[in-house]
Amino acid sequence: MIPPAPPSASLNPSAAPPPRFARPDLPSFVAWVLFLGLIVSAFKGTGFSAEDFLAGLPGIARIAGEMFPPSLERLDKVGLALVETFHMALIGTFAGVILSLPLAVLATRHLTPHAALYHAARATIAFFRTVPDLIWALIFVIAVGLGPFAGTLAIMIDTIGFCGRFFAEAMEETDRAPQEALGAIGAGRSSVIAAAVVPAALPSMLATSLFALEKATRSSVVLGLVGAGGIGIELQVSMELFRYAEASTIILAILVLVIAVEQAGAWLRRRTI
Amino acid sequence: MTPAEALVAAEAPMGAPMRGAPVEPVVLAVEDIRKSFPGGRRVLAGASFAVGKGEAVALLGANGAGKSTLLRCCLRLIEPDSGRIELLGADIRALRGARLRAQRARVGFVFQRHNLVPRLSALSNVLHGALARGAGAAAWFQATAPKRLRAEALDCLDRVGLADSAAMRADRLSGGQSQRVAVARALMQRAEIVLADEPVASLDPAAGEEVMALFAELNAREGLTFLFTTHSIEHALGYARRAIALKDGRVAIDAPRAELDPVSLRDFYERSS
Repeated sequence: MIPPAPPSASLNPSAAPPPRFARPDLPSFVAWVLFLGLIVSAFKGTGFSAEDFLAGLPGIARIAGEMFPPSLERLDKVGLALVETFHMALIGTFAGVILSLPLAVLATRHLTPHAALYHAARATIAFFRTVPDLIWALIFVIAVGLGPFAGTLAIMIDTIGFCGRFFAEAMEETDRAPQEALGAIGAGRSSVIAAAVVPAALPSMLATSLFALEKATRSSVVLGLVGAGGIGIELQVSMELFRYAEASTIILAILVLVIAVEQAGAWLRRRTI
Repeated sequence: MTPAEALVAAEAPMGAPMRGAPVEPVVLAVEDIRKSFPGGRRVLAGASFAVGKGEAVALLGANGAGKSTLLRCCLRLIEPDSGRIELLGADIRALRGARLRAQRARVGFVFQRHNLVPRLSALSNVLHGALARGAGAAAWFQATAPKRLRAEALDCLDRVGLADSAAMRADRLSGGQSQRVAVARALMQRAEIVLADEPVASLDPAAGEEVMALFAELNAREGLTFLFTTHSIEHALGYARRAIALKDGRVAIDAPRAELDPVSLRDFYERSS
């Protein structure tokens, strides 16, 4: 049984309580000053202004008012663009997942055949991840022309950067014991990877692939803004022509697609992992 | 006086060990194997012994005596510092790459923790034994394996009494069942000798007896050569025809079962630990 706490008046500790906050040393103090300076500078640099924001509120209200009710006049075209967007996301993700598998094996420390290949694979993955998908889309629009193929290629590269890293980490975290067992019976490297590493890493790789599809679906909407296919171009045209009711239909369609893909992904993850 | 009593009475574990004669022909000959780990910890200090075809031999020793290291050195899962190991007619230390894998393929290795691929079925795990025979991708998964290999794997499961559990995932089998699947994998290899590193250490006593009885049966019925490490004097005397005891990285006892008795072996253990 826990004894009752004594009344506060009777508390008389032998030592003084420690300070609530430790006094920062000089490097910490300098870091704090630099951080605060950076925040203030960024506020100024972005022209952040509560006054302008408040002045813009009526404009937002007016656009929101014109968006409702959504226009159903071009529903068929919006539907086709939405299907194209999903196709871009699906094929870009599928191709990206397939191509990231061998890259991930090379980027896994205990599976790579050579240290140089390990570093090359890690650098490639990092490069693919660092360059934003919109930049890839711009490059591929120039390379293969306007349309969904450019967007699909951009998503594929982005997916390789995303999945390559997480696949490699999943493979590195697998239990080495079954791999050692297959190595002990004379199995080659490819057999060890296919029969022991991939089955062990599969749940994590599947989850990563589904997240990649969700990410690609959101990306494929934006890629249309630079002419890389999908529903983004429809949204851009509607906004530029002040057809806000039509734009709201497109935004709602995008919302439905993204939520549907997320829900399907969550369901698949629950069932398979 | 038994060899163990002689050793205990002499209190000279580093002296000349009692030698048990292996059955001819010799399939594993270990000569003066030495191994130290980083930090200078010496685990093996000149261990020598031999195992004949069809023998069942127990390798005893206190924790840190070098049993597991010695067994792994036999297959070059750990690289010895010096000494000679002739395994199935080949100097295993002279082999590299494909030739080393081919030699390993002739040896079954059963680990303390079965080391099965958890998400695959028992049948797929047994099929992996065929990787040792160059089956390649055909032996990765039971779903894609040819009919002949599937039938052989099922037969191996039948020989260990688990044909009914072929479709069960390895991570849903009991500890004893899992270890029996590991034995079936060695049978699928068509191994000429099985090395088992404390194969029942992670099992409850009943499952442990079951697995040891299976090894004994395979040894008696099929003439499978069997070298196993154990802490259990009862298992050594009950399931092996010869026992080898390690102390301070060297063979201190090597004698047929008939010349050993539990009391002196226990005394040896107490003095070793």
